Amino acid sequence: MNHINHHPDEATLLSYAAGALPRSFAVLIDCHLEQCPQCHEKIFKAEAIAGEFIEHSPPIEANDSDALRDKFFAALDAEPTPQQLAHTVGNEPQLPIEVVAVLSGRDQELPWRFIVPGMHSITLNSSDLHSSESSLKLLRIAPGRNLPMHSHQGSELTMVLQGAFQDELGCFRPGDVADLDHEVEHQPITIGNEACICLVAMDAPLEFKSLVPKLLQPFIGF
Amino acid sequence: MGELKLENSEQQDWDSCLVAVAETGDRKLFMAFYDYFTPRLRSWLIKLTSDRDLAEELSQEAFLQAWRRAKTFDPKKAKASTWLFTIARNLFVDHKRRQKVEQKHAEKLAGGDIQDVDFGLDNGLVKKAIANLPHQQSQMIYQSYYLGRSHSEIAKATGLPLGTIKSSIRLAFQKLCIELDPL
Ligand SMILES: [Zn+2]
Repeated sequence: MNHINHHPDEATLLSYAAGALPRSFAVLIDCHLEQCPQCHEKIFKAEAIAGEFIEHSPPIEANDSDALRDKFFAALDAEPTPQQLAHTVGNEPQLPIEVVAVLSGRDQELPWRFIVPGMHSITLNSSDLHSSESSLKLLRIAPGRNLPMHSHQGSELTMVLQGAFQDELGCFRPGDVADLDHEVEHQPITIGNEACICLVAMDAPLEFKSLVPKLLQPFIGF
Repeated sequence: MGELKLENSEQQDWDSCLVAVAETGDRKLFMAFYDYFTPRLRSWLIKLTSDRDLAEELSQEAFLQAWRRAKTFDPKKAKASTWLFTIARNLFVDHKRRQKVEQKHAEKLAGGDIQDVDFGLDNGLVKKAIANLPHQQSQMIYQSYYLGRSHSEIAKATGLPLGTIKSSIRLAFQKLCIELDPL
C-alpha cells in the first residue's frame, strides 16, 4: 500500500461522519477510506462525538410511545435471532464500477468523453450521483499537461486514482485527496509518464479561467 | 456474560447489554436497550428530519437493524450509542438518496439565519465540551450533526465563506476530540 500524503480536511471527515456530505463527496471519501486507516480513525472519533450527542440528548416521548413499542416488539418477535442472521449482514460501501475499473487497470474500457486535447472525462451517473447540487466525475489528463486554471464556486474534492499531479500544495499520488474550496486557486500539472486519472466531486460547477470560455462550460459539462 | 455490571458507568452497561443480546438472542434484554435509547434517538432524528413521522419510522428501522446486526457490535471499536448512531445515520443518508429530501432541505435554508442553537444535552462531559466552544464553532457543529447540512448548505444558511466554515468545524472537531478523549 502506498503512503498517503494528502488527506481530506478534518471538517470534511466530520461531515462525512455526520451524514451531512453531499452524496458524491461521500462516495469519494469511501474511496479514500479504502486506503487510509488514519482518516478512518478520525471518522470513528467524529462518530463517537455523535454517539455522545445521542446518549445525552433529552429523551422525547412520542404521543403513542406504548403503541409504537408494542408494534416494534411484534416486529422483533418475527425476526430470527442475531446468531441466525450473523452472516447475512454486510455493510461495506460499494465503490462506483468506473472507479473499480480504473483501480484494476481497466480504464481503457471506459467511455471517456473528449473535452479538450489531453483531457477526457466521465460523469458518473449511476444511481443518484449526479444531481443539480453535486456531481462526481472521472478526469483523465495526459502526461505533461496542465489542468486549466480554475476557481471553485463551492466545495471540491479531488482524489488521484492513477498517475500523479502537482500544484502549489505539493505532489498528489494515488490515494491522495485535494480538499479545496473557492478561496483557493490552483493550477495542477500532471507529472510522470502515465495519464493522471482523478475522481472529482463538486457541488458547484468549475469555473475555468483560461482555455475554456465560460459560455462553453455547460456544453462540456463543467 | 453474567449480570450487567450496574456499578459501572451507564455506557458500559449498554455495551455489555448488546454483547449479551448478540450471544443469547434475548429479546427482553434488547427491549431494555430500545427503551433507553428510543426517546434519545428520536430526539436527534426529529431535529435532523423536522418530521416526526419520518423520525419515528427511521428510529424503528434503526432498532430492527441493530437487532439484526447485533453480532457485528464490537465494544472495543465503538460504544453502543455510537454504533446505534451509525446505523440511524446510514438509514437517514439512504432515505435522503431515495427521497431527494435535499431539495426540501435546500428550501428550508433561509439566508443569514443564525438562531441560537440548543443542543439540549443533559449534564455531562459532552455538554461541557460544547459549552467551551466559541459560539460560531458550536453553531457549525450543530448544523452538521443535528441539521445534516453540508458545508455549502451552511454557507448558504449563514452567509459565511466556505473557508471559515471549514476551519470552524475543523477547530471544533480538534477541541472536542481532546476534551472527550478517550471515547
Ligand atoms: Zn486519509
